Amino acid sequence: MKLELININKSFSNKKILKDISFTINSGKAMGFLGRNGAGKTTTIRIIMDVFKADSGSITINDKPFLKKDYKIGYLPEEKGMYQKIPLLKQLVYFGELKGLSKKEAIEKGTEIINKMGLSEYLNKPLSMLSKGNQQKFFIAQSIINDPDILILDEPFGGLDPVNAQSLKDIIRDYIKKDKIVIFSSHQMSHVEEFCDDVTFIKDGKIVLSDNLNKLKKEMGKNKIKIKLIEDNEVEKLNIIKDILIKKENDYIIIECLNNKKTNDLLLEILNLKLNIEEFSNYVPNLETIFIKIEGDKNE
Amino acid sequence: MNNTIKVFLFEFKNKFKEKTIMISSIIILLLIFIATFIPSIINNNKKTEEEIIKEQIEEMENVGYIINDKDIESFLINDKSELKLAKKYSNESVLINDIESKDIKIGFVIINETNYKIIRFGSEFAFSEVYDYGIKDNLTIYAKNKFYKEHNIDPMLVSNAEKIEISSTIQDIGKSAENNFFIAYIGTFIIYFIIILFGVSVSTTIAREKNDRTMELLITNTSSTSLIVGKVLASLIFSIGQIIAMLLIGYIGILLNKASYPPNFLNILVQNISPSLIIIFLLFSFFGCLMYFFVYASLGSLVSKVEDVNNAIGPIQLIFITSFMISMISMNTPNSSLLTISSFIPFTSPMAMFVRYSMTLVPLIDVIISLILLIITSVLLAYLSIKIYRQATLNYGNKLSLIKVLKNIK
Repeated sequence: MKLELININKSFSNKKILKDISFTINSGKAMGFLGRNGAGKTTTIRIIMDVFKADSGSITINDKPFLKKDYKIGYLPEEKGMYQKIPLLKQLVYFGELKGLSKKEAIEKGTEIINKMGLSEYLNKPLSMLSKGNQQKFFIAQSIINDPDILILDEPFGGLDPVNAQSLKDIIRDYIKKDKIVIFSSHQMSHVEEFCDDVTFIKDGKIVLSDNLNKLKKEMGKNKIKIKLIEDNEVEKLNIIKDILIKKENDYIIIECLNNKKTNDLLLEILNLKLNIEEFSNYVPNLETIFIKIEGDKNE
Repeated sequence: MNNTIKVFLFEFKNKFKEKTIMISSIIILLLIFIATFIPSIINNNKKTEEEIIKEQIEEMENVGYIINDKDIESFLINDKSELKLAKKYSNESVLINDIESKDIKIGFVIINETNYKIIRFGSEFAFSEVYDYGIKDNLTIYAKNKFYKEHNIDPMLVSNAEKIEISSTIQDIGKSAENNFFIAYIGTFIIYFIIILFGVSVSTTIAREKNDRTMELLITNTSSTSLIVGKVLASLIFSIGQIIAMLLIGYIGILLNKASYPPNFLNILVQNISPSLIIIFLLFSFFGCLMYFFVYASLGSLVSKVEDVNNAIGPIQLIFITSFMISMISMNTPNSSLLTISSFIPFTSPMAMFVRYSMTLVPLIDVIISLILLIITSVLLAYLSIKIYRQATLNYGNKLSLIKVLKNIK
């Protein structure tokens, strides 16, 4: 399956919120949908969910118009909540039915997911009795009760301890394996990096970048090497090398070759300086660095 | 449509778990049931003759009198008069002294046949009338008899002349407003109670869903139309059930206490509660609730915090309470222009038409026009409410302005 957003525009009260949004999401892969608060992520998701109609543009699935009613969708919003005083199974069955399951299916599936999430002791207890982390697990259960074709998760790891986070990771991996479309949005870049093959960056209602994450990392790491020196003060010695740009990133020194300088030549020059090098490798930026760079570039 | 039914069933079942609704409903049903027992309670409390005499003796121990004229005394104090049990005084200052020292509560000083004085220690109640144990009536008879004797008039003749009575009967053509006052009052109160209770409940439910962000999940799983229609229908059916329960419990209560009710009261009920009146009541209650519930639902969606609900629903509460006041006030003048006009205005007609129909003769065409206007307004407001709800549900933060939301509706 290939879900494609083509030139989506949306305004509220004459304020343009989304500007020609276009990107593609393929099944069997997770797509990280990233952007700062207020960038337009939720509005885009709400348009996919058919909560809002786009002013212009279209959404297609396998090159045919996308109709929400024809697909099972699971959605976990960032700002979420459910009925605090109603027992878990009862409200899970309600949401399951709203998603198109029969009552019997909803009861079976709801019980199965609640057990899988380790919440079986709360099956018939109200949501208010659950801790924040367990409530988050229950919200996730709600999003997958209908075994969705398209799973949209916005900040799914909020409030989860490492053990529960691992369970959720297994669930997401399972969906990816099942050739489903998974859209993943989070400010915790390490989680996005862990799952997502593709990333799409949105800023001020515009898509600023949408590509394969590895390809992006390669491109952004091109002509750059990363070294770690045993003695920090030796970094000064690097200044005599011409056509390079030196940046510090945590304990590492990132050196970028400028003016068509080859990394092999740079390596020879560094070796000639006889520095005490602890680590040495090609530079592969992490997603956080890419995110900050993209946000920074667009601010400039 | 399918999801509307699912929302309806979910909300309907939850209504039974809403404490405010259930407690209020049980209290009102209990009050109705207890009220039907009042005639039986009063009958059971009737005192025996012995008890009455005992109470009379105890009461008269607190009463004193002075009568200096022997003739008047023999006329007023006899076996039949209550005063025979009272304390006799010959000196007014002793009587006053006893009142001041609270030995007795009240004293009567008969000066002559046309003049007597009451002495008491302050007054317990403002504007209270003093019970004089028949002194005034008996003195009047005594004075009149004396007058007849002095003027040679036969007292029997005068007595017979005074017994002449002019009789009259009332034949009501149409409905008796007086007889149906009780029915109109009860019906109006029921509609008022139901709309206020369930209207606020609809608003609060929606505001709470926004408050705890359940709305975000609901709106992405089903349409806003299914949500608001399902919720309003759940409240509507529950409230109609509540109305039927109120009528049934009242009916059962009256049936259980049938023997204690004055026959006239039961006749009025049987004769005046016609099937057409019940149909009018149910139809106008149904569409009145429907219209108001949609308005309450849309206003509830404008706020993001439950505590802001009261502010949001203020305007509709004001309109509704005014409508209630108009109907209540107009019960004294059911043919007034105010009630007639109100019975056509959709916001006032649910109560006003019922009052008018139960107390006066209303042409069928008036009922039909009023009902059509109410249905059209209900449908229009339902449509508008769905639009407002859709606009408002995903906007969090400060309370939205209704005017702003209406402007944004395309």
